[in-house]
Amino acid sequence: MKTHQHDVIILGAGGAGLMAALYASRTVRVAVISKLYPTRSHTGAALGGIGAALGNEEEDHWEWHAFDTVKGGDYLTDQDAAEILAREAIDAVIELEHMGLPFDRTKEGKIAQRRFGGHTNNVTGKPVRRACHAADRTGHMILQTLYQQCIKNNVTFFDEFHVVDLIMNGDKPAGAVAVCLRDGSLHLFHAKAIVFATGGWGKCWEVTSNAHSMTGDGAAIAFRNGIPLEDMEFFQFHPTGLYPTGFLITEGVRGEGGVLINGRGERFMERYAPKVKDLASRDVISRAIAIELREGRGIKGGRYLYLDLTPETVRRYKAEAGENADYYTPEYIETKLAETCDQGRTYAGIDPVTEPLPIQPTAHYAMGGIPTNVNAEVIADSTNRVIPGLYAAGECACVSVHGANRLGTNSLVDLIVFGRRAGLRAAEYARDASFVSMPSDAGRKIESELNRIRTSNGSTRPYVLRKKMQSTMQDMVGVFRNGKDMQKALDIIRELRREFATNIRIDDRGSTFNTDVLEAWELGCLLELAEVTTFSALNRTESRGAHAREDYEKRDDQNWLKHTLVYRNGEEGLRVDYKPVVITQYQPKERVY
Amino acid sequence: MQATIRIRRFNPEKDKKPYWATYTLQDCEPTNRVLELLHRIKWEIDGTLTLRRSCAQGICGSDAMRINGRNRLACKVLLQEFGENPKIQVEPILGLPVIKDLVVDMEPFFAHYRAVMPYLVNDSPPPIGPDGKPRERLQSPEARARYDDTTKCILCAACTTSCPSFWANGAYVGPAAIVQAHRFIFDDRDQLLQERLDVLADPDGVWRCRTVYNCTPACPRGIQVTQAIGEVKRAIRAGKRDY
Amino acid sequence: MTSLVLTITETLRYRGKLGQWAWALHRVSGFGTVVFLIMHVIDTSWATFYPELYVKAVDAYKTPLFTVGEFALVACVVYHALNGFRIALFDYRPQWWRRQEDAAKLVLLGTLVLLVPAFFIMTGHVVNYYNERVSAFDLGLEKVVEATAPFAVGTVVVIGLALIVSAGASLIPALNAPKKRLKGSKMETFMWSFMRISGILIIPLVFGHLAMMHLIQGVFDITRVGHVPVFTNLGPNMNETLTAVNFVRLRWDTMLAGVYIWRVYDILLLFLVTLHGFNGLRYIINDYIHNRLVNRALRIASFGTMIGVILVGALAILQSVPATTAEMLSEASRAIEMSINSGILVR
Repeated sequence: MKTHQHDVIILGAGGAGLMAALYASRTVRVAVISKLYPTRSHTGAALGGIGAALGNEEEDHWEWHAFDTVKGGDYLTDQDAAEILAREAIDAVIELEHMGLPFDRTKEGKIAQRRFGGHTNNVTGKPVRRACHAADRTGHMILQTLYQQCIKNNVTFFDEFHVVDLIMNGDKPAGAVAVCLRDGSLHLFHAKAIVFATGGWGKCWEVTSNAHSMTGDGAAIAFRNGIPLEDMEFFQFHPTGLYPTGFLITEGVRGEGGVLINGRGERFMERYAPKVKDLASRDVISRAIAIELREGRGIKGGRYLYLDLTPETVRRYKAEAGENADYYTPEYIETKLAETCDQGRTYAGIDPVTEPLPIQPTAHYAMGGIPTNVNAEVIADSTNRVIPGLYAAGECACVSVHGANRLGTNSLVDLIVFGRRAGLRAAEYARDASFVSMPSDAGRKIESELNRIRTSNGSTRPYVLRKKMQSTMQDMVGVFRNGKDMQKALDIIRELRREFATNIRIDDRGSTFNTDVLEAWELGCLLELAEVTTFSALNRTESRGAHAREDYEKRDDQNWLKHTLVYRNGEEGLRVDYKPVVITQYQPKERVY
Repeated sequence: MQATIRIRRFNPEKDKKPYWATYTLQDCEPTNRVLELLHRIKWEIDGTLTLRRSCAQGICGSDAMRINGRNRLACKVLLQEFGENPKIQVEPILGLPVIKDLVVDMEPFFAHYRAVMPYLVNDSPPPIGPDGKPRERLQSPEARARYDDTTKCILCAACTTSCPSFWANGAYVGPAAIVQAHRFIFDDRDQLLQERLDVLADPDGVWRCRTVYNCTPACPRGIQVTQAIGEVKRAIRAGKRDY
Repeated sequence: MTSLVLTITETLRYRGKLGQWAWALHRVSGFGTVVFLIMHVIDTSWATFYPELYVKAVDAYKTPLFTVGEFALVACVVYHALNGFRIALFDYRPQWWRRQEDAAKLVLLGTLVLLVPAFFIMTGHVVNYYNERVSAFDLGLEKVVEATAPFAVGTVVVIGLALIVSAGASLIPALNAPKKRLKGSKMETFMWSFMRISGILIIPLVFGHLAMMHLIQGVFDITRVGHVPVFTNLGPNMNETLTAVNFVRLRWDTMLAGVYIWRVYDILLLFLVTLHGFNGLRYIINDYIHNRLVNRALRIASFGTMIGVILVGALAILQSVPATTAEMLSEASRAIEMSINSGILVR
């Protein structure tokens, strides 16, 4: 096994990874290890905007942003983290602009902002223009801009190196193991500090906005190495996935004035969120859609509703609200929502400028993940004990800044704010720390596991297991959940894990670009995370944010205003622990939009 | 319906040279994408089939390949465009060395990308807001619109590998790199204009473009690639941004 | 060479749109025209330097194979000219690119529109020739071989010499350092502009030339009895000797017009076409030949040939000036003498 040595290694090259790389590389030797070319990362699929209280379009304050984040998270958000997020978002967005990010502009030349779900003027309760955007490809532009700056600063990249394990010496992290896709060789990366920025695991579900590569590798690796996972029961379903593929239609559509319509032609969100209507937070709207569908008000009785952004409809509702809507022309839609237009035309055969889009909720974002403090340092237990040298940022991490439900645009803010903190803190640590010595058997365990997969000769192809897992999670651990179904789901997933360990079949036994083996290995990660998710969800007997239980319909602050931590306990078992929520200035109250 | 797919396959560990393999799939839907068919072959029939893909929705740029003779993203091509009994031919993009099946070596492509200095340089101090903190540099909506089209690029290489000049001579930086350069050349916040124009005035820079126009229809993002290259040529001749 | 083969096969396989075919045709027609140009300039210069060789060349030009070649040449020149205009236009206004395909169609249509009457007239010349002067159809292969062999041999010799020079050059380390990074080339930038500007200028010149030498009069007319070279003020029987050499001399020597207008016209055409053509050839060499040694050799060979063609052509046109001037002066004095004799001036 070839060994590389760097002060800091960053696992994953999405927004958080690149941001961390940029900052860490200013002072120490950094390598970014990514299973994809950096520009393929799923940050690029984020569309509508990045929230920051710049106040360019109307009055806004970071305190409002912080409160909206806490309220959006149904008070499970750690409020110190939310304050940092909202405050540093402003600097971060300005900094992105200085890096060259081509934000849309106001007439005065400032960064343009649009409305987004859950972002409000705290005085009036009306939606506020806070989402800074570059058309509807903000994530794409952030990813490109950060990668560009990394090139400018000569950051070292190991592209298409698939990280498959951590190297621990006792309980101290010493590095990571990665497979070079090109020739299948294993490489050991010896480092003082390791930053997880590996993204989410939406591929646990059948209908998802996530990329095929969103398989939660980092979270699973951490978990296998004794690190707990926090708040895994909270997984966001985005209300507007394109039907039937589940591809994301940006919330920016509703920010620009688009409305949700049911089979009776009603703007049903008026009933569920009278004040902000279609701009309520995502969990609220996804539940509303699920209810509309369950009660037979889908379009033509089908499993989808309409998202209408045609000028005719939008202008009518804007006029009703007393707003000027003359600017909202087909040309305006084509520029402000270019990606949406392309998606509708390509994948649904529908021109969103003239017809409404068919939509359904789609598995979108993991609020939970590797537990960290506000400095992105990974913590080991409920006492917030830091594991020196280990960091996590972005979707794979749980600060927890999103609580039980993330607000739109806050994922990008999270990447930038906590990616930067991870990079700075990791570099600072690496400057003073020395390398933890490599254990002599470094990488041996994962090597034999990969060999097992490569040579496995069972009867079940991995895709069969994956499909079964995805449909199980979709049906039983989706927008609405109940104890009976989730117990069933847990049993099924555990059975699938056994099958995966003993009876899979692999065709490709070669070493060059063997995606057959690595996809199977990714399935192992997904199964692991699906199990933890279901276990956590079954354990939490209340409804909060994205976790909506039919058998426990109310939020229960008395018993459940706390974070879940789940540990692996032996090969089969899981152990649960809890961690208090940090509350600073926003006392929990009922959540209405 | 039934779909027939011919795939140009090559495994360096087994094959001396590439060959065509044909697969037949039942129960295909007109709305299936080519990527889904490739996945079905990989998952249900032959796990050794190798391709790159990630987002499957046309934004990550992993799965550029030559589909029925033209460079496309496999995730953006729906079966319905090939009629009742679709026959589809898939092969790797041309001009970059094939690693395995549909996977090509992207390193030369990214080397060209890096060569055009694809990053904004602006060393002047940013404006300061009333609170004493740095604020955004102002840019008019018109100035922003000037380079809007080329910010859409996802570096999938569909354009570069559709270009006969690039097939013939891999030293040519190719359309994608020029598109990236265009994005900065026409951004009025950038201060590296002359250096970038100099680099692109190389014989292996824009001047190897013969206006074949293959790149423009190949772009899955609808970027007007040849126009962008033409504008860069004009900027080089004029030695300035607003020629 | 592999890259050339690959480009050809893949251009045929790739389902590019019309732009791709326009580009392919532009390359092929340009290359064909350059090859003809080399032969043509050298052959025609013989009219000044080695009249007997020129006679032979014109003889060969009348053989059927060359006749076919002549048709192809005219087609190449017309297409290359119109498409070149299209290229220059869209380089000047890149934002019009959406119309480039329409333009490519127009170019094809325009080529057709120009070629139909041109070929009609040219066919007329051919038919006339065979009707009036030739009794039996003769491929005249020996003549063809005789006319082309020196060029084939010359090509081999020149490339051979260039390979030797190139091999010598490869011993100089400074010339062989691998290119590290892109750096702008003023020459390349200039040549790009030159190709467009010269291309536009060439269009009227070469169309005029084609009209005069291939349409209004054919190759066969050069030595025809009673033929009047167009745009000359000479009477029908001036070319008493009926030789090709005389024809060229007559055209260049048509009084003052010959000294100035025709020579300037031909010199301009010679320079622009040769520079344009050989730079095109350089593009082709650099695109498809990547072996350092061979690439350099071919560039040296083509550069040398270009210099040769320009020198030979220019000298041929200018060489005859002194003779013509002397002749014109004596003609003038003779005229004065005659008028004095006839008493015009006296009265």
